[in-house]
Amino acid sequence: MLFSVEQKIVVAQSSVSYSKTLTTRKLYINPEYARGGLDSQIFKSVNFIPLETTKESLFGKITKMEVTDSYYIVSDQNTGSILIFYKTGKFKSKIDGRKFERGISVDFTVDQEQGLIITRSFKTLFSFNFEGELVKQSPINEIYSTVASLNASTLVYSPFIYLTNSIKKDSTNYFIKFLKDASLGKQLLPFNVLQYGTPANLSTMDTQKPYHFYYSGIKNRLLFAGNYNTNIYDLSSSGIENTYTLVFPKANSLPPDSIAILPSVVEMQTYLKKNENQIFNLRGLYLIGNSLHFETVMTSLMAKDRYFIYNLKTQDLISLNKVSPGIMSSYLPLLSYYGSIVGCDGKYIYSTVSSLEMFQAKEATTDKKPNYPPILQEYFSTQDRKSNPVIVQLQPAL
Amino acid sequence: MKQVYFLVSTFFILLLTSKVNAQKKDSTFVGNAKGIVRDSLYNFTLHSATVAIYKVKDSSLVGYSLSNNFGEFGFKELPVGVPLKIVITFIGYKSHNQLFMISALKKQTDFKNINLNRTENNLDEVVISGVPPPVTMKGDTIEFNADAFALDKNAVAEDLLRKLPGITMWGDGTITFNGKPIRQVLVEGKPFFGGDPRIATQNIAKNAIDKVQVYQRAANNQNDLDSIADINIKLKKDKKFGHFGKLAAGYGTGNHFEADANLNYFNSKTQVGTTGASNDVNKAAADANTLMRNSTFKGVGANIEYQPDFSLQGINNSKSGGVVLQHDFIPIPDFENNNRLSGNVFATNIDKAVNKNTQSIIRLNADSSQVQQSASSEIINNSRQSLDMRYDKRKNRLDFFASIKGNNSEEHAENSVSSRSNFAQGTQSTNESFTTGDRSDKNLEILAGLRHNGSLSGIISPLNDYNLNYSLNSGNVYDKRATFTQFISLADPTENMLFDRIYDNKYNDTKQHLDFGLENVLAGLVPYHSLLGRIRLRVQNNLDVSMQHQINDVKDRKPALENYLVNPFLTNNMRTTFINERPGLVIGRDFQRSLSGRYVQSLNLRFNAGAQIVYQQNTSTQEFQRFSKNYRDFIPKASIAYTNNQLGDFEDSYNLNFATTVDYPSVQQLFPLVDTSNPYYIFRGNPNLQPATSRTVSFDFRHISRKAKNTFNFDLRAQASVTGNSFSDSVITSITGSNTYYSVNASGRKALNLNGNLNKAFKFTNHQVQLNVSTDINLASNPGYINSEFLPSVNLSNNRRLNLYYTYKDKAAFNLTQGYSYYHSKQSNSNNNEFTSTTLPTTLSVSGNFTKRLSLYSNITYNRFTSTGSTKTDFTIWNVSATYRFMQGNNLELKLAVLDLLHQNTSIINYVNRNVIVRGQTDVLRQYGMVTLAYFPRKFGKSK
Repeated sequence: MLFSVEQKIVVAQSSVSYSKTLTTRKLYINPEYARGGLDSQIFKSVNFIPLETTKESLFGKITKMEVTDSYYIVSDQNTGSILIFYKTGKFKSKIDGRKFERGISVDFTVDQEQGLIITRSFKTLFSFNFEGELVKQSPINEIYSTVASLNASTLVYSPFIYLTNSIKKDSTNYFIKFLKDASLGKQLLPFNVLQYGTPANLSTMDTQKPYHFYYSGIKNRLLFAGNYNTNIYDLSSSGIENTYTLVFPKANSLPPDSIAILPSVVEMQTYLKKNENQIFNLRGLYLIGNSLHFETVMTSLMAKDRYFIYNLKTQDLISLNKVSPGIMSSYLPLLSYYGSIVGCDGKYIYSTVSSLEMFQAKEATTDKKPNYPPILQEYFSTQDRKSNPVIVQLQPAL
Repeated sequence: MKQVYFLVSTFFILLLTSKVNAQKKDSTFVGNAKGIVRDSLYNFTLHSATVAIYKVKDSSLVGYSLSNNFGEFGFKELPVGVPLKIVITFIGYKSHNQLFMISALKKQTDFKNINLNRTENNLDEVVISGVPPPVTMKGDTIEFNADAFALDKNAVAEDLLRKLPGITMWGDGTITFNGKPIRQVLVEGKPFFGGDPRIATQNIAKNAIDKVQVYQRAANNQNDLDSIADINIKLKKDKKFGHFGKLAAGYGTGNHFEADANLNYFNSKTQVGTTGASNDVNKAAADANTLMRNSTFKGVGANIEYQPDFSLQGINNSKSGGVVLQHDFIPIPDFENNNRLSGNVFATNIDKAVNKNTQSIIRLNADSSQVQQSASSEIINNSRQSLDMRYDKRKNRLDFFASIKGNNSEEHAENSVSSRSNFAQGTQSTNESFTTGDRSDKNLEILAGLRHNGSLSGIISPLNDYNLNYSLNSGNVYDKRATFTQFISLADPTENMLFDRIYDNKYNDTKQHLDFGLENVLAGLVPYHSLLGRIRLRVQNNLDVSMQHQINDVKDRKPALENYLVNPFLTNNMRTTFINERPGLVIGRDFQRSLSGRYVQSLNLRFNAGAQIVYQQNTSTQEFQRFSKNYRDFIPKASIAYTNNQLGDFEDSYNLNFATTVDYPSVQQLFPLVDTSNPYYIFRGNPNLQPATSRTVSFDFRHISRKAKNTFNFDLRAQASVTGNSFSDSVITSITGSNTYYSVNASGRKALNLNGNLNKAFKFTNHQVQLNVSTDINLASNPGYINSEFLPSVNLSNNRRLNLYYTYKDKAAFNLTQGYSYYHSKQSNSNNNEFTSTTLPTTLSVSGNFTKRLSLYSNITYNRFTSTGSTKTDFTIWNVSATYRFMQGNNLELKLAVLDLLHQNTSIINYVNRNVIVRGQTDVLRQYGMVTLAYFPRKFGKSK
């Protein structure tokens, strides 16, 4: 089974296959001993950017967010659209997925160098400029689940594993693929398609899932996490580079051979339900300076700590869930209770809070007489609980 | 979805901090205390830590609170100048104890930062020293520790629930948590003796309770604020078994009596209850659970009482008893796993005597009517036994159930009726009848069903959503009776009749039902994004096969003859086969629009292309009853459902339905055996009767408030139907006053129903008010023929009801009910055939606790009846009772009750059936006084 022993990842590259040993650094993380603090002790700055609510810009919640020099670009599952906002929160334009017969994928990416927003509709890749105008389109061979921009004109994606009875052949597919100018390049992490079985036979379905890619904070490098383990990989145009293996206390860790002993979705889900405090995945991976940001994924909804900042140099561990909003953040939430960090631009990390939570927090803290910055004063006086979400821009103190 | 838990927890905390439960306040309760709970080692504040303040002197709880999102807590109205102790607890930390006193001068203590230290082994338990914390948050569950709440030693679960912040016990028995109705009250994760919350809350001793847990569950995935709540009563480790019940006997004036016995035992897996009752005061229970509900201990709170039914006709002497059983193979079942056997056995015996005087006015046409006066006296003995067992298992989204139900009923009735029929010109005829009969009715039903609901992985595939149900019902009726009837016609003596007839009729029937449904037939077969992929297709089938065997054996004896001879017209041996097959293909489309945290709107369209194929075959020794018929009908149905869920605000739902139904004439309607022994009702049927087709359109609207406080809900419903070829009657009244009814197909049957309900609740610190208003309006046009003239009647009825509950702490409860019923009937094509009746009952119930042991209860109902052609009737029923409890555990109760204090109870018969107006009176239960002594045996766990 793939990944059962991390150090032996086989990287397949076009027709030539080779294997190489990766450098792995083990990080010991005990969520119990993560420290907290006041917002001003953890962050250099906290800014709230309410996203403008107009008839056209109204959306549900941010599924994915990309930050450019001038814009926040967000996608929303509810309206099936990608929206472009100025850094002030003012609405600029929108790519309306409903105008496409089969909608557009909310998993989009931004090619910063070419100034393009790239997404797909079924098996066609569409590129838009920041005005929301379609610039070009090109057919692709298969549907991706997740996509990221690696460097100018190179995309990396994890394919959508389509479950069908028609899969009968014993053939190889890859979990990670490169697209250079819309044509297939490098392919990494091979797997046998037959292992995926058919939907009617769930017990044989493999437990693998598509990979999510995160901007590492370093140009042309992406981070992604393993499935059903707590490894972090560093991906560049030359392939998978460094890895981190996060080691958690035994009570929070999956058994090392979990995929081998729990090969099907049903078995894995049953196991995770019974062991709801075991961390089976990592997400929200960002690297800012020496700080590695990550979020732990487990079945339990009761875990107090989920989002961590780990200093690779000093081994200092901060739980974002233990950070109290204070004067710097006007006592407003820094992230939704179980919310994720949705974006990073190398300097700031970004979370998002719904207007419902913003107004609730405001009402609950009137006795603290917070001094809101003008942008929030205007927000609270002109908006309501049903307005668009607010972006929270956090600058970690390194 | 994740947000739900956050918001729910935030809400809990906001609510709890703002509502510190300071008890027994006086002018010295003017101190404040505040602070912040922190983990100083790791530099963060602790949310939802429990902070409790006790008096040092007697360790009594003065107030408690949970720390908020900033770790802060604050108390108001604390006693000043008194030594106090603050105890802070948090999972994984050592509890913090600190003595303090609020100075009478400063009136404030600021603890600033209170640092908690971690326990070394870091167990997931609160380390408790001394009294447990009153309340703890565990994710989406809030736990109240019963021991932290000092109550009377005889208090029950209900008294504890009343003390808990956020929980409201309403006057009508509803329980809400932060305004949301509690769906169920579980004990140790299971329904308690049938699931009626009162059996748990009014019996379980407060001292047996370890924790009261309130679970909040998201009502839907997208929903941030809407959730449903369940209460689970967790018993103390050594109190997980016990028994409780009631033994009572009462004797009163007029030799009235009542006796109740109820004994229940439970442990972690099994619950067994036995119950029995006997009385002659119209307290007849339909099942064991009703008896158990009326035998609860009740604690110290005020309750509206269980009363005899004064409106019941006649004098009823009932004995009943039963056993209730529930066994859980999984001691603590959950949402996905359940394995339970439950059932009950129940037997009743009722002796009933009713004397009735009625007058029926039969409007024939514009200027003629017939009046029938009848006096009847009836003695009935009915004994009934029933068995109901059910097995349920749920695992991996598959539900299976099997149940067996058996009924046996034996009835002996004696009935004498003397009637007289008059036209305007005088009496036409008289009829005297005497009937004595025995009827036994046995029924056995076996049901089993299977339902699979989706898959764990959430992938839609055709084999994941299906249901299959089968039932077999076997019935056996034996009806034996003897009738003696003498009809004397004053108009035409040749019409005089005398019947001395015995009936010996047997019916056996076997009914089988099989239905299945398969959802999402196209899923996985066609691409999701194609047009077909968006269509929901359900294949379903309903099949009913029934076979009936009837043996009618009727014999007559002529005057002056000794032997009974077979009546060839009323005797037959008949077999009926009825097959009703209803295949259906349901085509649908679902649309959904949502905006996270704001709204979810959905539109569901369904069209059922249903067909009905009916085969009816009859064989009989009577030649005219031999026939077979086939019918084929298209019975389409369609529905549009729209819901608008504005999260945290309200939920509106709209449903529009259209349905076609076809009714087929039965053998009795087509080819009945015609019995002429009651000349006032001779039914002849009609061999040419055709099926009746009804088309119904209905619309309903429901508004549910999703706000936490002072909720406001209402609903409206409208239904209109038109029936073509409806089954109607054609009545021919002869000069002698006898009536012959024929079945006919008539067009023009129309009905319109409107109804509405409104609920509004108000909650203040010590007062609760709940208002309920409901109304319905029914308008119907019923076609029919009277003496060959087409005379449809138009009926309008309107019922309104207003209910107002008020409770003051646990001291007093008031319930005011105002009802209003209006009925108007008009026969078309005539001028003066109009009838109006109204009923206006007003009830006020008051219950108060004067001391811990003495409570008084009174209810008064004022009734007013009016109807066209008769003077209005008013009467008032006033009941008063006082109970006093003795012994240390309040186990002995003495009750003095006077019922119908004013001796006014009257039973009024007042209704209209098409062209027949019936008015009358029956004898009823009247004033009596009763002394009842009750003993409540109860013990939870082993004695110390």
